Amino acid sequence: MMLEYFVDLLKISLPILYLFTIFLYGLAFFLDEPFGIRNRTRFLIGTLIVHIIYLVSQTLLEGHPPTTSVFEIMSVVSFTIGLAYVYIEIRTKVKETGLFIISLAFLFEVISAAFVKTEVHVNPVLKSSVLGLHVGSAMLGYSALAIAAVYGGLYLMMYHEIRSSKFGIVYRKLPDLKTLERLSYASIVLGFIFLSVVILVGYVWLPKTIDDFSYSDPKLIITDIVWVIYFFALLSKRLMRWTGRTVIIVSMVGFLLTVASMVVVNVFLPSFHNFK
Amino acid sequence: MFRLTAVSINHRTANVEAREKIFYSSEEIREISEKLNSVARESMIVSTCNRTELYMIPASTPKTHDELYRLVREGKKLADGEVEVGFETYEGFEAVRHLFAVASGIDSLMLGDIQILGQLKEAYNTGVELGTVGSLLHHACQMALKAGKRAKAETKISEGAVSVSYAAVELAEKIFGSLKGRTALLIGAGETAELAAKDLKPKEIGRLFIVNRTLERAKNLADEIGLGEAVQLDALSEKLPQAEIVISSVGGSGYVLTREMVAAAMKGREINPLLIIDIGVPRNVDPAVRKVSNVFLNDIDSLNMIVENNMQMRRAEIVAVQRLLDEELNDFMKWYNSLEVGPTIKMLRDKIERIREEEIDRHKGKMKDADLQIVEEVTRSLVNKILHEPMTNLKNAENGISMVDRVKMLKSLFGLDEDEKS
Repeated sequence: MMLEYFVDLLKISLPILYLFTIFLYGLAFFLDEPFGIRNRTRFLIGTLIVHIIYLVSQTLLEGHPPTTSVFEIMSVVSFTIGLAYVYIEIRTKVKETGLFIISLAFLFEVISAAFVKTEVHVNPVLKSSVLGLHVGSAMLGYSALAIAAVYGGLYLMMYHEIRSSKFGIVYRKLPDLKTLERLSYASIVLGFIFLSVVILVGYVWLPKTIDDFSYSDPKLIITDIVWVIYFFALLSKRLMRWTGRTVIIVSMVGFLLTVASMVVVNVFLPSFHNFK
Repeated sequence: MFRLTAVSINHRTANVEAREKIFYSSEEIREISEKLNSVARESMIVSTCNRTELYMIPASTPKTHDELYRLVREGKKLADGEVEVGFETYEGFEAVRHLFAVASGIDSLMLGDIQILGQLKEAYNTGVELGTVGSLLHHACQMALKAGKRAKAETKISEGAVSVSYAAVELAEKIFGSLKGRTALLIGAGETAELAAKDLKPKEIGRLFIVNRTLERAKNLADEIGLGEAVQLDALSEKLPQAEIVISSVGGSGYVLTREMVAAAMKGREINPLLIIDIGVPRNVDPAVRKVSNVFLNDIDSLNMIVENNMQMRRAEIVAVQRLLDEELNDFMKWYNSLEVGPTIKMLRDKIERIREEEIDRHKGKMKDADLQIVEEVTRSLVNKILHEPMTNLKNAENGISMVDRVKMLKSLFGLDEDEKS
């Protein structure tokens, strides 16, 4: 009972914590406020610690990882987006893009918190540790691709600002186009690696675990298509030396296609890849 | 009493012609130092293209501001009426604050200028070498340099380009990131092209084409900056496909770069962006060039806008810098007052002790030896107890009254100033 209250408390607190993190990143981005500049990363790390406590508590409460429904998964995606962003921020020292990326994490967390329900009785398959690797890689992979798309969006904003000679806050605050391109590309590479792990683990593990496994399952086909798109995008960048806007547009189209096909597959098409 | 005086002839008080005449070279500073040593306990001259300032602690009799100003003029051997300039004066801690403001760049003609810090350091080193800088100016200069560094690191007072040529370089960096190894092409070899070339060179660009109608001028510019290949204007179309950054600043009417030329140059390299900056007035580049894919075209208005935005940002930082200077000045005052408190306490103790001894002397004939000893002990203990609290409060900086005021008040109440003079 206590644990249930604790999980509920964290569920309500997390969107507020993400919102306050966004507020701090906003203070730094728009107003150069020293309080925001000093505390934004610290607060984000604090929020992520609370988030991991929430995910662990939820696992203890439900007896399985919180990856059994779309809304549970959304919270994990929110966490992995935040985690991937902190890693990128520490590695690159670029902090001005946090406002946009954490907004994405916030969006996922709010939707999750609003609709998630405690699922104690689930398919035993979901209690497998291989599932953890499979789903964890998927979350990290899609989060990295989402981050790549956000960097792509920021690239296009900056590109447009310079082309139209506006030189507003985007010009002043965001890193240069080359850095945004580099960040987007690095996120795609990371996303692609995780996606490859997801597919590999899935193809090895799923046929042994699921009775009605089918290679023609829509979710599998879509994942393969997404993988192929990113594979050719990365290959083209290498072979044809794609740079700048071309890479960015490919990354954004790839992500939009991923989201759109995932929605279609999850909502409209039947799949064994649903463990209710 | 803190007796530092500063006389400043700067961009607010004198035009550039007058400032040039009053400018001191290091040799001239050496020449005047002997004269300064005879009238000053400590002194230092800071002279740049935008200011000449004398900081001085008089040896004995304080000098009037006019006398100090005359001293500066005499060092330059300027005849009466040759240069008439106004000057600003600062006294005591205000002079230290002014020195800090100079170091931070908020007093510069170009707000946030970072060169001043190096110039100030040079002035200080010269003063040390000549022996005109003593402990007080040494401490003031060290703290000024620290304040300048803090202003640069902790605020945006020196951020962003504030010249058109540097704004062009900044714009290129916003597109390409590092400019190291990139290829730039300058159209024109005049003053603007020279400034742009000088701003590009430290960025370690790989190649530089200087395209001009007169090849000779292009060659001269390449020689002068030690970088670049001179190209005749007719050959512009041949070099254009290799360029990533083009800065155009030629005179005359008509477009030097047309849409067709740029579109042809972009063939086969469409995915690599091309930045064209047109600083020419009238414009050198056809505005339709903007429509070519992956080409960024910006003109003088764009650069002016960048400069103005950066200036606004720097102006907004002045308050933050002033706050930082207040902190540093406070530290300086604490340091200085710590020098003042010790002697003041000693003076007060000596005075009270003298009074005590005089009173005992006056009455000692009326007392037995044993009584005298008791009175000695009692009065000494009384003096110690009475003085203990005021002395503790004097050293304690946390009671809301500044150290200077406390020392001043104490000296005035007990007439210590008079004792000091006598």
